[in-house]
Amino acid sequence: MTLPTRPPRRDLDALLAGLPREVPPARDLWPGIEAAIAAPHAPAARRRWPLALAAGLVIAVAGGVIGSRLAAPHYSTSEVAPSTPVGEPDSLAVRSVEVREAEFNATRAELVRTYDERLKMLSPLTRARIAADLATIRRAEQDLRDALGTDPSSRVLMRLYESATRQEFDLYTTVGRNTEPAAQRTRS
Amino acid sequence: MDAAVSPISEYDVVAPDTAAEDEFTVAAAVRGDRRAFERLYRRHVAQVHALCLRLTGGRRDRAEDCVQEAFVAAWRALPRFESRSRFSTWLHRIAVNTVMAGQRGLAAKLEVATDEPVELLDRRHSDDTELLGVEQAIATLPDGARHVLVMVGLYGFSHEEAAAELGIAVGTSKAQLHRARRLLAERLGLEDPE
Repeated sequence: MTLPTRPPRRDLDALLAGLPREVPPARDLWPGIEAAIAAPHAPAARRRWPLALAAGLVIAVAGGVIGSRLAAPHYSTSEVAPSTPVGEPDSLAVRSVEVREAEFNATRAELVRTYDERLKMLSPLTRARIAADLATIRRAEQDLRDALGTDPSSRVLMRLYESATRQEFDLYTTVGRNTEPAAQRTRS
Repeated sequence: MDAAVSPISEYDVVAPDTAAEDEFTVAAAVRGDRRAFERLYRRHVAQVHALCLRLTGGRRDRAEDCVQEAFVAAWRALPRFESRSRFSTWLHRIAVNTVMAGQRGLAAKLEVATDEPVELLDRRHSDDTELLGVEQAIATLPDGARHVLVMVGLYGFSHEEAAAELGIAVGTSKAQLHRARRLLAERLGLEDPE
């Protein structure tokens, strides 16, 4: 009869000592690092650019999900990614940045207005939860804006900022969507 | 490298990590030599990635972001590097700071819903199922316990260093290590390690 060949159980210290100290990443991360360290520190005049780019990305997404009651900006995907390199904004690109920021702010203001209206239709408990979530998201956005002010070339920070802004927009649209039947009853 | 691990990657061809080689390469990088810094990256990235991966509970995307941020931060801080400490030790502290800054910033909490923990090691890196189980058990530890276990138990930080990096008391660091070991032993079906 052959006994099972299970290896003898090791103790915790032996198991921990056996863990590899090196785990290579699945992809080469150097190109991103090289791009970041090669980029000069952005002067103050250019610091709005990453935020505006994130705003452009978010507004494109928001434009697709906002209901008919809200004005959707007319951005196409191709307009979201500028052909001008981030480090070399020309006058057209700068004008485009300003337009995007203005559109973004207008869209956000409209969403917030509707959100404030619709929030009143929800129960106090739900309102409190949503308000807490929104406060968390806005604090995160502020953290990220501060960080981007220091390091405007960070793609990671920009991605996180974009993600946070998306979540803010998602929250507004979710509230809008879920209260639409009640709003229709009020209107009719 | 551990004998149980059989990585097949470009990293096998880099020179072994030695303090002397680092010293020479760091000096060149401090002078602005990006190729020298790339050599440092190639030499240390697997360790830094492993550290970030374990600290983040096996979240690959966040770990990779942290690795990139850590190396960018290291490049910018190189002029302040004091050669009496090892480059690898200094780099690990930057990596820990990067992970912790990401967790303190609320942005990380926003990712919880979409950033699912994944296997920390796959079979490219280890065919030892027992070790894979240990990695999984570590990844699912509570954050505080996992951070101390990874720093003190795996990467040789002192409790004083870990406490300073994590913003906790030294006693808390010791308690968290004890907790981590007890939880790991339970989850792995081992006898109480103490």
